[in-house]
Amino acid sequence: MPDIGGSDLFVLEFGDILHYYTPYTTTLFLFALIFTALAILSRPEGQIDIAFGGDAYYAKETTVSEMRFRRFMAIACGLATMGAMGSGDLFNFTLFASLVGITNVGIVAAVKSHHVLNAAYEYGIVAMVATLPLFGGAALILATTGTLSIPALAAGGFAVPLVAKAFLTLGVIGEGMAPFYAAKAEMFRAPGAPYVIMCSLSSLLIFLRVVEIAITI
Amino acid sequence: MKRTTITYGLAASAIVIAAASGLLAAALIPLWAAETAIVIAFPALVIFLGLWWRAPGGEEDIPFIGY
Amino acid sequence: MIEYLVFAAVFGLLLLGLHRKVIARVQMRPGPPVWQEILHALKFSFKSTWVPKTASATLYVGVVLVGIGIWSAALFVVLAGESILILFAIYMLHKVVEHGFGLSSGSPYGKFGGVRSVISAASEIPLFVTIAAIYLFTESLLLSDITAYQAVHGPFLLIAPPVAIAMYLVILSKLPYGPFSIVESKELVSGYKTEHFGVWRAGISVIDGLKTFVLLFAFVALFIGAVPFWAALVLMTIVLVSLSFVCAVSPMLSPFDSVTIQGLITGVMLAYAGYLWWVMP
Repeated sequence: MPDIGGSDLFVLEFGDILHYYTPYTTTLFLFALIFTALAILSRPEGQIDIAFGGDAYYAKETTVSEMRFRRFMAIACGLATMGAMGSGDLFNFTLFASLVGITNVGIVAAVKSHHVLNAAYEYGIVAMVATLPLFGGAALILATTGTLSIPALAAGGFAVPLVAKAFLTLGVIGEGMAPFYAAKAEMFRAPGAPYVIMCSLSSLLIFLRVVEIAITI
Repeated sequence: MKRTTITYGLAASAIVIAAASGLLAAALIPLWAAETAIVIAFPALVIFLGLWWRAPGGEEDIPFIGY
Repeated sequence: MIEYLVFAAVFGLLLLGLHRKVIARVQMRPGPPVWQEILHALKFSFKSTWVPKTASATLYVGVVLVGIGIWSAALFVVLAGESILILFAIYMLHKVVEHGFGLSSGSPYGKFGGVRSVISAASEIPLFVTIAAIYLFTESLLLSDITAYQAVHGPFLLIAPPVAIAMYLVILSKLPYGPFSIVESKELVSGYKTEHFGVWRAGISVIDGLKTFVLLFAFVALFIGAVPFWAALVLMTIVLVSLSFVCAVSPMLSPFDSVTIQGLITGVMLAYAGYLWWVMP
């Protein structure tokens, strides 16, 4: 394998499917772990909003049941991200990435606000459409090389088509909320800081991982 | 937080850093282990140091009563 | 180990002080003393400290610790010559930390600072183009291999100048008074830093010091190569002074202009990387 993220620290094998951790993916994994722990441990903040053009401000109201559901989704999102960080199999990676997309929609879709729901709906459509290039990229790689194992592909001897790598990257960009859907500020303004942060964290992390995969294979 | 809690936290983080540096100098632990220990302990040291030299011992601070 | 961290934090803060001084002199103001940022860090650490009532306490305190931790790790990564992907992952994750600072307090100013930090994600993409372009030359992303390559072939600053410019702009967008510094612009009080006061703010100062040191040190290592430590410090100061001139003469852009310009830079860099990929054997 080319030296991208440093030499392997740990490999977990399930037959020909394996998980491997380099210093790079370990760093990403630990970051996902820390923020998942923060999402579990911290209570949501009480958000204050200002009425522009005056001195008035008001506190946003949130319900416990809504926050409980979003915390569940944030934890699921953290687990999916951690899975995507170590996965050494392209199909598993695409599954984890699409799970990140689903849980990201879940985190914001539980907010009972018109604007947030609208943004979440549009993002959900983007995430659904993005599964096409995501799984399409993996399928193209399987069809041309006959394997989906990242170490096997990195060992050389396979001509992985560039379009497949581009599809994979495009799919991940669509699944993740932060890199290219970030202008929808409504979603990041929603109350429940520890959970909203999981959205931007998970999308950055799967993006960072797919860059490593695209260079490696 | 109470002053004793902060003192213990400061001492703990300082001891971790000193131990990691010492063990590394004696070549008892690898470099990455020392670095990990310091990366974890250094933020705690910074925060506890600030809290420690500000923390009131016993007497309460004068509250702000407005201009 | 710990002496490196303390030195990097103090020297980084000194560089930020110099940054303010140069900006002030270019704008014909006297400016604060060079050690002002160090005094700021000490001043904040002596102030009384608590957690705001509306804040999500664990996250509010946790992000300060995470922020110092990731930049300490980044310093060790650079010093050990490990993969620059780790360094750039930490750079991108700093965005999440900023977001955490902004959202955790519940204050509207901090929240908008955090939202701006997410929407300026476009500034991170030139980094990946930088990485990809360097990889095309070196076939490795370990910093030690990259400096070894430069020892043979000469500095990257001369081999691939557009890549160096992209990284320069990335550092520019993380400086506090630059044209892209929309996350802490003054109409939002202090942006994402607004609600972190006292010791927490002193922690942010340490983060800023480490961040400035690590990014400038990485710039020197990536584009000029292995030089003695004192020479690296001199080169870092020169790079920072040139950045200060850019900051002094350019206005702060509005959020959407900032994102648009960063997006255009990304497009140009992608085209350059594609060109490199095409002509490389």
